Amino acid sequence: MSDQPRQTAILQCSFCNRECEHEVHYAGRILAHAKCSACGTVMQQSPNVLRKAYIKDLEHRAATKPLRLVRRILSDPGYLFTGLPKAIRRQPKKFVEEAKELRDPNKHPDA
Amino acid sequence: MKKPRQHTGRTAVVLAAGSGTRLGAGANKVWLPLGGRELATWSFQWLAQTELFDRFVIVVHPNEREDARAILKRHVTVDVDIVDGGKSRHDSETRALEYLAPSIESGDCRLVLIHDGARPLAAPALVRRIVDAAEECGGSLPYLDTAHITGAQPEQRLVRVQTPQVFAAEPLLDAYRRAARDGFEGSDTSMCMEQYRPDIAVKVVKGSAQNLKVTYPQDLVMAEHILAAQSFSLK
Ligand SMILES: [Zn+2]
Repeated sequence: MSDQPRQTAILQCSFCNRECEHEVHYAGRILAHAKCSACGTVMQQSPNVLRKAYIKDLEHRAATKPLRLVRRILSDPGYLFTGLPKAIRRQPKKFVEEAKELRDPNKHPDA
Repeated sequence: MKKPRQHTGRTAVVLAAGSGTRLGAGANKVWLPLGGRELATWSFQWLAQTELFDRFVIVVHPNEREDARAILKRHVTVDVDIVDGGKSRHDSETRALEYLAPSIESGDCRLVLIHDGARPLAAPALVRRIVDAAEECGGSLPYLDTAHITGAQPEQRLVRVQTPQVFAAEPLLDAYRRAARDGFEGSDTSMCMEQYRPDIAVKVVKGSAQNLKVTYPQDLVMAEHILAAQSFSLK
């Protein structure tokens, strides 16, 4: 469930206080913004803070990737032949999607 | 089959069913990403790290059973039994305890920890303190004195109860069976114990502000920062 940059979940809105569905957007592993389906309020990190957090996390992802890959293959050897080639092909698109999430949602409401 | 564990007589239960009345697949916050994996899986990371438990259970929404199985296989290093949740938190607890009833009645399971899956940052040190206290007197739960956050005067202080909460298994099962007969629903584990087994002493231990419950979107941001600041490894 966690590989998509856009997810929905029931959270409480700090503006209208309703517990309702929120659209949650991620830039990689970092939450970029979340929109309340009831009142439309967008909770977002400041673009500067988000970019810094994203870059720091990207470094951490790169550093830990070999270990995570080994763990994944040990728990599911079939991943080496099925999941991994697909994941490699997806990488360029994935990074473009992540970069889109770094944009300010108020300036790019379609993001 | 994952790493076999030494017998300790303790079971950890993580409640991840959400509120069954309004949930559909994909809408449960415990499956949102946090630090590159699903939020609910972090609890098993810390619980397993303590090596205090020989059995792990997750209570999930019936619609999410298969997704939960795949996620746990990918991210959790211990075997986890999956139990279908009920309409409320209390109902989910009852189902978990009935699932464990044979091992509780045989004496194999002595102590049960119940934890809210929306609290992904209950660190191993906190878990150990709560388990030690429950071993000593039968029950234990963490609290957070919010005075340092709100600046309130001592007489106005609010004390917030957190999870995990740990209780002797047999009285806990007994309390939930009695509650089921009466139609009683407590908002948390300690409330049901207080109602039906007041003979079991409960020791309160100091909780942690870090052990936050993901309620608002900004809680996810906070949890991300806490994990990243500690290199995704809580002590
Ligand atoms: Zn709202």
